[in-house]
Amino acid sequence: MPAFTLTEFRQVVEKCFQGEAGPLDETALDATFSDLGFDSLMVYEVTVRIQDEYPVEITDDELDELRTPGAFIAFVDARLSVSG
Amino acid sequence: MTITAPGTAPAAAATRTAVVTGIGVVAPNGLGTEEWWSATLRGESGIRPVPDHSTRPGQAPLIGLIPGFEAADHLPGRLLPQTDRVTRLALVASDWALADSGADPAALPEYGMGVVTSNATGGFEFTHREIRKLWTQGPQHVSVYESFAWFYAANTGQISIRHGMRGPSNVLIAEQAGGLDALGHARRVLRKGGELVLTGGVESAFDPWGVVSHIAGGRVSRSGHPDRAYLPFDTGASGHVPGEGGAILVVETATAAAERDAGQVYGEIAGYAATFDPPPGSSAPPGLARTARLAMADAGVTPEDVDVVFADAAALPALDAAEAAAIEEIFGPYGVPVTAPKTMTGRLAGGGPALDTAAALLAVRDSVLPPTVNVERPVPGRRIDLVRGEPREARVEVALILARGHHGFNSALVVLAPNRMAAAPAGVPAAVRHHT
Repeated sequence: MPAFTLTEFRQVVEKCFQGEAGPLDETALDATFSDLGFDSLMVYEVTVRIQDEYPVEITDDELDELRTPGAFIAFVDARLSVSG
Repeated sequence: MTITAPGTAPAAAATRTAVVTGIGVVAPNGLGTEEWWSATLRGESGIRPVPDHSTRPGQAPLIGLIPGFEAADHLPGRLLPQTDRVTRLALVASDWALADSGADPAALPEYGMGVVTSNATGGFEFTHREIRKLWTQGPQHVSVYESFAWFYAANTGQISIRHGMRGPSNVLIAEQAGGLDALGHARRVLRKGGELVLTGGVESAFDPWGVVSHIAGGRVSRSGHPDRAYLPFDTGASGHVPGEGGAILVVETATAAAERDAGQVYGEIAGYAATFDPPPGSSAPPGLARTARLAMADAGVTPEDVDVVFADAAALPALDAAEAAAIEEIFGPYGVPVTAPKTMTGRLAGGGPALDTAAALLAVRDSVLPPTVNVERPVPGRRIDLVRGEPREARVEVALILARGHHGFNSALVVLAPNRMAAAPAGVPAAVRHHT
C-alpha cells in the first residue's frame, strides 16, 4: 500500500501555503508544476516540509528531475517504501 | 542635463509634478489611514511593553507595537510562507494606498510603474526562526524563502510583483533619513518618465533578536513607562522608543493623475534634499539646517511660507539641541509650529518619515496640526513653538519634514497643498511661479 499519495501531498502543500493547495487533484498529476502555478521555490518549500514530516531525503539534483506532482509523489513513495 | 525616457518628448516641469494621490498607513496607534489619523489627533499612543517578555512587570522593553494585525485576513495564503511580518505590513499598506488612490495597476503600463521604499532592518523574525531550524534540525529544514525574506529589498520586490509594477524600483537605506530619500527618489523616477510610483517605508523587527538589536544601537530609552519613555525636546529626554509600521504613498505625475481623473490629490512632493554631517571632530556645523534650506529652495518656498515643521525628534539631549538650533536659525525664535506625532508611535526608522509625510498631507487636508504628546517640561532656552498635548487648528499649505539617520544622514522634504501646486501653464517651473 502506498505510504505517500496525492492526499498526503495535498496536506503538505496546504500546510505550506496556508490552506491554498491550488488545483491539485487527479487531473493535475501529470501537469508540470509550472503549469499548475508553482514556481521553483514553492516546489523546494514543499520538499523542505516533506523532509520535516517524513523520514525521507531528496537531493537538489533529484528534485530537479521531478517536474510533475505524479512524478514527485511516486518518487517520495518509493523512497519511503525502501526505507520502511 | 535632462534625462528623458526613450521615445518620450522632453517633459515640462509642471507636467512631471509629483503629486500624492493615495495613502496607506500601518501604525502602532492605528491600522489604516483614518484610524491612525483620528487616534493621532486624539493623542492616543501605540507605545507598549513587548508582549510575552519574561522580565519583571515594568521592566519589559517598550516598543511602538501594532496590535491585531492578522496578515491572513489581507493577503493570499501563498504569500505568507515567503514573507516576514515587515513585508506583510508593507504589502497591506500598499494595497490600501492603491485603493485610496483609485489607480488600477492592471490598466497602467507595467514599465511605467515603479516601487521605491526604505527599510533599515529587514525581516528579523523570519530569519530568527529559520536560523534556529538550521542549528537545531539542519540545513535541509530551513525554508527556501529565507533566501530573500530577510532582505531590506523584500518590501519593494514583493510590492512590485503583487501589482505588476516592473518599472524602475529601488530601496534606499539611511536609517530614519532613508524614508525621505525614498520619497525624493520616487519624484526622480517620475521626472525620468515614470507615471506612478508606490513609495514610502515600513519597518518591523521586534522578535527577541530584533529587540536586542535595537537596544544595542545605544539610542533607545531605558524607561519602562510608556508615557515617559520618549520625550523629545524635554528635560527628561533619554533616548527614543523604536516602533514598527510606516506608510506607503501613491505618487503620480500631475498629468497622469488628471488623465485618470484621480479622486483626490493630497499635495505635491515639491522639495527634497539630503546631506551628510561633517566627520566627528570637525568644527563644521551639522548638516540639518542646510538640508532644510536646500529642500525649501528646491520647492521654491521661503521660511516665511512654511506652516509647520515635522521634527526628527531624536530625544537625545545633544541631537535635540542641534535640531532646535537648526529650526531657530532658519525660522527665528518660535517662528514656526513644530510637531512630533512620532511620540505616539516611536521612531519607525525608514517608516517614520513616510508616516510624517502622510501626517503633513492630512494636516493640509484637515487644517490641523497633530500634537506632540507627553512633553511637559521643554528644555528651557530652546525657542521652538512645539505643538504640545493637543492638536492645533491651522491652515497648512507648506510643510517641512525633517529626518536624521544614525551616522550622519540628513534629509528634508517639502510638501505643498494642492492650491499651491503647479496650476500654471505647462513648462513654467513651480520654483519660478511662487515668486511671481
